[in-house]
Amino acid sequence: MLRWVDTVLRDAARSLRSPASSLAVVLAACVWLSGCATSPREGPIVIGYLGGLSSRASSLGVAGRDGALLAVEQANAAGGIRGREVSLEVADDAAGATATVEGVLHLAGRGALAVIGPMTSGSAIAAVPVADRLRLPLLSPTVSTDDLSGVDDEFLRIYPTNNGAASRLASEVVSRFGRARVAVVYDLGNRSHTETWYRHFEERLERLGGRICVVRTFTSGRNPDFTDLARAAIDADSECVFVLSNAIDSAMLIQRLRIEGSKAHVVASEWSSTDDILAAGGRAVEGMLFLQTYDRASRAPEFGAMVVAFRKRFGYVPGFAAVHAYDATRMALAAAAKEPRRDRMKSSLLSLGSFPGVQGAIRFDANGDVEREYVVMTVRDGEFIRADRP
Amino acid sequence: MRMTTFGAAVGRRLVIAALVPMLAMGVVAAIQLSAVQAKAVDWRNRLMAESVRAETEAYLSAPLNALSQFRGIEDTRVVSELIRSSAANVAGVESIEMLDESGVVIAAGFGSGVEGRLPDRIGLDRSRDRQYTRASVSRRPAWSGVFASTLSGASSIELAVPLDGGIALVTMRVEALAGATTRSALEPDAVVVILDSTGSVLFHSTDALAAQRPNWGNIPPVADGIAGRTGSYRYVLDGEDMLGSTALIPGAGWIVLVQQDWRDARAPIMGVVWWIGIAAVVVALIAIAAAALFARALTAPIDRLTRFTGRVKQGEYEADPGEYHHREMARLARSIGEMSTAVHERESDLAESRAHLEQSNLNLRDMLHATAEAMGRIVEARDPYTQGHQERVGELASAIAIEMGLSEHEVEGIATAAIIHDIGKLSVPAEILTKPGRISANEFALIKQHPETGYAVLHGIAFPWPIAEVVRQHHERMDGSGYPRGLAGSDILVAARIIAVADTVEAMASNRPYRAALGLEAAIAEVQDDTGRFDPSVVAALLRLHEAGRITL
Repeated sequence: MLRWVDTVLRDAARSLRSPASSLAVVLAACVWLSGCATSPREGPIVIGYLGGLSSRASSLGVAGRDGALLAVEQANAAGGIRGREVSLEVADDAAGATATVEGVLHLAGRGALAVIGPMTSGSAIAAVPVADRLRLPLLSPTVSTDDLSGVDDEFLRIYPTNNGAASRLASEVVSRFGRARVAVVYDLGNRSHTETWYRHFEERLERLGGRICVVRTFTSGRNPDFTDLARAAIDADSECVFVLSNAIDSAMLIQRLRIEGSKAHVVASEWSSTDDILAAGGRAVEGMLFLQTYDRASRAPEFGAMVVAFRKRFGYVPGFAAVHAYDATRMALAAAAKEPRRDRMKSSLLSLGSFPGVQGAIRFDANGDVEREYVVMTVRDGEFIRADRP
Repeated sequence: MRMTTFGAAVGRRLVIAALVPMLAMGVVAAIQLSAVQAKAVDWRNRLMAESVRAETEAYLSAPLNALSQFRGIEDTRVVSELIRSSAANVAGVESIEMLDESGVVIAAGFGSGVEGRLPDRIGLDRSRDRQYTRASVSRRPAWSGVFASTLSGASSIELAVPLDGGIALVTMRVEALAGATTRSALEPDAVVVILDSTGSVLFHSTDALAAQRPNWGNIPPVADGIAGRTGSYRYVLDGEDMLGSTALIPGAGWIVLVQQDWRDARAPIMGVVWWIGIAAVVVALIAIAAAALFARALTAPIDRLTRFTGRVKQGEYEADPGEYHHREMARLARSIGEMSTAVHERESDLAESRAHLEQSNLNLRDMLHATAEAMGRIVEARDPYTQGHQERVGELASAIAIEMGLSEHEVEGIATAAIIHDIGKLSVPAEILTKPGRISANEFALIKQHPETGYAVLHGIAFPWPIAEVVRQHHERMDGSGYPRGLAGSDILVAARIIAVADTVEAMASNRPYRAALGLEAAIAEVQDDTGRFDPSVVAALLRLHEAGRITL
């Protein structure tokens, strides 16, 4: 092309008798060439997303994908990052560890600067070694496993570890209900998550003087007998029931508890706190408590704007996965705006300092883990509200 | 100027005349047929969307029809039994739950092959189920988006149907929609997508994509569908050009989108364009071949006429131009034939005139000679001694002139001048001319006037040669010693120099009243010795003649 430009320039200069107009042509060509020289290499900035999109547990992955997509679309609507378009490359890790590794490789191959995800602990454990090798930062919105905490690797997250959340929930139980007899029911379908959660909860509860009176497990999707589970909790004379499962299964269990006549307090982790529990739980879930990393009922203007935009774009109210993925994506974009290079992304992310999430500041520690304020939510008249507000 | 053959020019114009309108017609046809094909492709795509819509509506209305039989039945046991059998018998149903007015489950049934626990279901409070809420407020059926079934994990939708006093909640598998879409007459490359009223994908021919439940609310056909408009669209999805048509399912608020990769869909359109292109090339080749044949047929009579004119040029005025079918060519051939006859006649007339003229010329020349000779004889009649002198000088001068390589015309002029070169002697009294012995200076002065007198007599006659001037100079000598004007060298005409030599030689070789003949040898020797006065080239020619023995005086 340069040769062609040169020819055009010569012809133009030859055809123009006046030196002033020749100069103008040369100047115009230089301006045009400088435009040409920079634009072709400036493709879109690619951000990856890794989550389960095709299984029973896909609600988390889909919500996270939608949150990330909203952040990317908003960045593009605002003119992109450094004037470049941002594109979100999505990979599905639902099929297991192999799919997870393939997903990471795929996203790295597509030039992702960083990956938002994974969304589940099991997937994170498979993904981190590959990401470390590729020096591809993973920024997870929702992974809570303790196994990856305190390690200086390519794995960063804006979700607290199980340990912290479980301890906090146990403290909350004791402070609200005294040294209560607690029945625990958890799902073995997400075993790596639930068992560590349960262990930390039990450890903390017993240290605080509480007692686990019965522990029952079930496997989601395998036609669990919720009547039997509810009766077990009632038979153990529990004052409090801790349910660690997805929203629908939690709703089914809590409904059976109430139908069977239990008046016990019910507590749950953030996992259950989606709109599904309100719809499927009916009046049975009124007054139950959730330990959450964000305030669904927040009146923060940034959060309100995000919820409105999200609902307009996707037709449903964003849950914790969508909100955290939205924040995580915005953080990745902020880091990319500093220096859009994969090998600089991790340090850029860690040096973001106090990042303004939609519900307050997010700050990494040196290992890329995060400290968060917890919020205790309850259900009143079919709505989530903060339990500590009247 | 660059010349081409008439045949090539005619052929080219025939090709242009044939091809230009045909190509224009081809382009118009290609555009028109492409438009028709594009419309047909659009219509097929729309028909598929309508067909899928009809099948999907039938699928969705199946449980509604099954539930309609519940109306008016109050016995709970009968309702329970009906629900169980309906759930098991209607395709795609996972479960049916019958809710009372407060939203509590009073009866339930599971689809065939679905594992469920009836006791777990009875008594559940479903009053906050979104579809229940919508249906109980509107008293119309309400559909949910896609969710993973709590029973099987399969992608499902929920339908809330108001019945007498309560609501039935039906959970149906989305994958069963595939059955509905396969009953539609779909083209192999067509992809069926069913979206809810927010643009989220409920069903996609590709299972994996459906499971991801992307939101397509921002692609034009879906955006329009959400706004209640349907139609055919060209749009870009994941970097691919697509053709898609939409249809609405009013009750569910769903949008049916049937899309095809535009590159595949437009194949018939491109086919039409290709065929028209190939036809255009074939027709063009035929046109060129036909034009070449026509051009040859058109130029054949011209070639025949050219051959005919060639024969006329060779003098074959009687040649036959031949028969011509075309009126213009026949007229041209006739004209050329008449022209040839006219030229022939004029040529004959001209030849005759020229023969006459040549004869007249010959006669005139003869007359001139005869006149000159007569004049010569008049001079000689006054001096018997010089009888035949001029005639002999004429012969000798002619011989010298021929020897010198002069033209026939010049030789003839020299001969004529020689015959009358002494005509001026008419003014010299005869007694001086014939006086024996020496003549006085006065007498010689008279004699020396004869060249001027000859000039005066002759210069009014329009001879084709300068006869008068030659006569005037025939006594001039190369060294300027001659008379009457003492001219020298190149001022003297060549004819006069030749006559001077011939006159001197003949005079010395003949008898004179005042002396006897010296003889030819002595005369030549005299001239040869006296080279200063005579032209050496003339003398040389004389010598060559003498040596060849060709001088007879």
